[in-house]
Amino acid sequence: MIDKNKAIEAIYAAIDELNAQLPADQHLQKSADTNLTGEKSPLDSLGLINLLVAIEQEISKLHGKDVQLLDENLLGEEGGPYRTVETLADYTAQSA
Amino acid sequence: MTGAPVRYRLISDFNLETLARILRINNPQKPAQVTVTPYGQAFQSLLALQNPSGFPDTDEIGIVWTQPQSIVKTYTDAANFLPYDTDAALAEVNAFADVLNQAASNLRALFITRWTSPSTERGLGPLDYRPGCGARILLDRMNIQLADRLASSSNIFFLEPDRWIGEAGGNAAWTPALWYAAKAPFSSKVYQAASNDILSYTQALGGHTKKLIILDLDDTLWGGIVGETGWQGITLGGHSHAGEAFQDFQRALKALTQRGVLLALCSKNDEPAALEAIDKHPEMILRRADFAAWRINWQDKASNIRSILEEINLGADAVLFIDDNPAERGLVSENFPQILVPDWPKNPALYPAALKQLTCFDSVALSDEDRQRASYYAAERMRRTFRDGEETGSSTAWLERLEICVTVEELNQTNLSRAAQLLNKTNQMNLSTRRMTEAELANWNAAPDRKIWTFRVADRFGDYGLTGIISGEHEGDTVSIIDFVLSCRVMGRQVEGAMVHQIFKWAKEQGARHLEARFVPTERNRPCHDFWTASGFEEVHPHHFRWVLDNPYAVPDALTLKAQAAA
Repeated sequence: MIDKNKAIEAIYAAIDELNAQLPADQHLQKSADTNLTGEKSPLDSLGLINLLVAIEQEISKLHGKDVQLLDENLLGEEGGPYRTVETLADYTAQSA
Repeated sequence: MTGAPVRYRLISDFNLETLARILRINNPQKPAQVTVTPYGQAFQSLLALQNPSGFPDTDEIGIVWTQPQSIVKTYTDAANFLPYDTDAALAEVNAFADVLNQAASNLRALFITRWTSPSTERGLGPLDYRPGCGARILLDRMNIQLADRLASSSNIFFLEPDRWIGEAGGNAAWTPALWYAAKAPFSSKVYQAASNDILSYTQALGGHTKKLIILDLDDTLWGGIVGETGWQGITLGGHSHAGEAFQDFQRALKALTQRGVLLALCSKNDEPAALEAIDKHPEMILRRADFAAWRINWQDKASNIRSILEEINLGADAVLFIDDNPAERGLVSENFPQILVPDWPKNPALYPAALKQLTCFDSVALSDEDRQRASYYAAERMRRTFRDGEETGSSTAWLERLEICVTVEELNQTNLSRAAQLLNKTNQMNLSTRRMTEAELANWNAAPDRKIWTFRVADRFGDYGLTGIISGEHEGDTVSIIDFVLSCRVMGRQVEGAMVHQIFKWAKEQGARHLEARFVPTERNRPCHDFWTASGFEEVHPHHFRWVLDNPYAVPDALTLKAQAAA
């Protein structure tokens, strides 16, 4: 378990890394309500996987914790924990 | 070949989609078109590139990035600690190299990522580098074998993944989670670093290499203010850690001159005091002869840089500027957006590494002319001194006293590399600004109605090297000059006229009636237009020049033109 703010900090760092792969008009915004899945998200499955792994690495680097966020069973779930930055931060904080 | 988007074809045995995404947006000025072939089918994708015509008909750049275990099955045995046969492994490498060589002949260029493996995997530990036993030594042998087998293809270049892995955090760059979920073994930071290198290689292919470093002196080449302390008081070499760092920085700069990079000085200083330090300080690595030009005075640096560029005859886009003072860097950036002005570390201990990390000197060929370029400019200073010491006379008379000798030679295997380099680097005296690889140039020249000549120029002060190219194509009663390229080092020495005479002779031999040149304007080749306007050719249409071959086109009186004896 880590503090939710720390989880958001790690997610934002991962978003910076991911935005380097996206055209400027598709950049993910660093805000809690940014959609990460579904039609309102610019991410496809590879983009989402890259984001989740980048967050895992940030958590490991910043907090020394080994966390597994990537779960193939959750990738297709539009209402699951990957839905927005906010829901992902909750999931990350609990998982770490 | 300029102006079109760069096209890449990615071929791999793993998922390179992330690299493709980064490549598409990494250069906002020139977005790339990227095709990703299905992963796991490297051999099939390479074989599919074979073109029945046998000629490269594409601008595509292939990027091949494979894992050693998927190409060389014997390596898998070694990695699994089984006994293995080195020769069998190298035979598999040879088979892969043959396919790569064939594929490269149908591409503009082929970039191949050297095979690597995670350094954290211990393998056989103490035995991992024992021949015939460990996987690590086999991997090195496989890489060397591959490099040797590909050496004959001049458009194949190796990419260095360990640099990307280091940039991406070393061990953290290998991401098993991504491998298992998406068949991508690396974190996206690795692909970002790879994309930067690929962009740099691509720019090198197009000849966009920095050719001149303009340097400050105080606290850049040495520590301290020479105008205040005299040369005896500056920090350089000796037993000071900063002094050693400044000296190493000078060594790194000197090494770059071996790659054809010129050095110049632009310093706010008293010139006599600064030159005295350069001449007399026993620990100086760079001496006066290492600098192609200098402006050491109290004028603003923008004016001085303008003056240096005029003297050396280079465009601002060929320049890197290094100065410890952020205000001076800002001024130069503002006045010359094309000049590369890197942020510079405050700590001189970091200077050598900062220089060695720059990608702007990447080039795809290294010729004797490159290695000798600094001495060409030293000779040029002697020529100017000679001219300044002469009584006022005509330009032709001065040229005659230079005793210029131009040696012409048809394009051949020996001069092909330098000819392609000159074609791709020259901007000012360039008729059509065609950019071609060695293979493309050789293929173009192979057609019976085409011909390419190279020109070497020398005078009483030294050899300028291979500095000119002219090519022509014969069709009907006309020979068209396709390329007319001359290094800025010899522009205005009437070599241009000797080159035209050479193709004039060939056009006559072909039975043509007209010799024509069509000037293709760019931002930089105005000097070429000026030459053709004054060449005596009739401008029958704008930028379209014609000579009627009944009229002789003589070698200029001020120089001698001779043919290179056949080897």
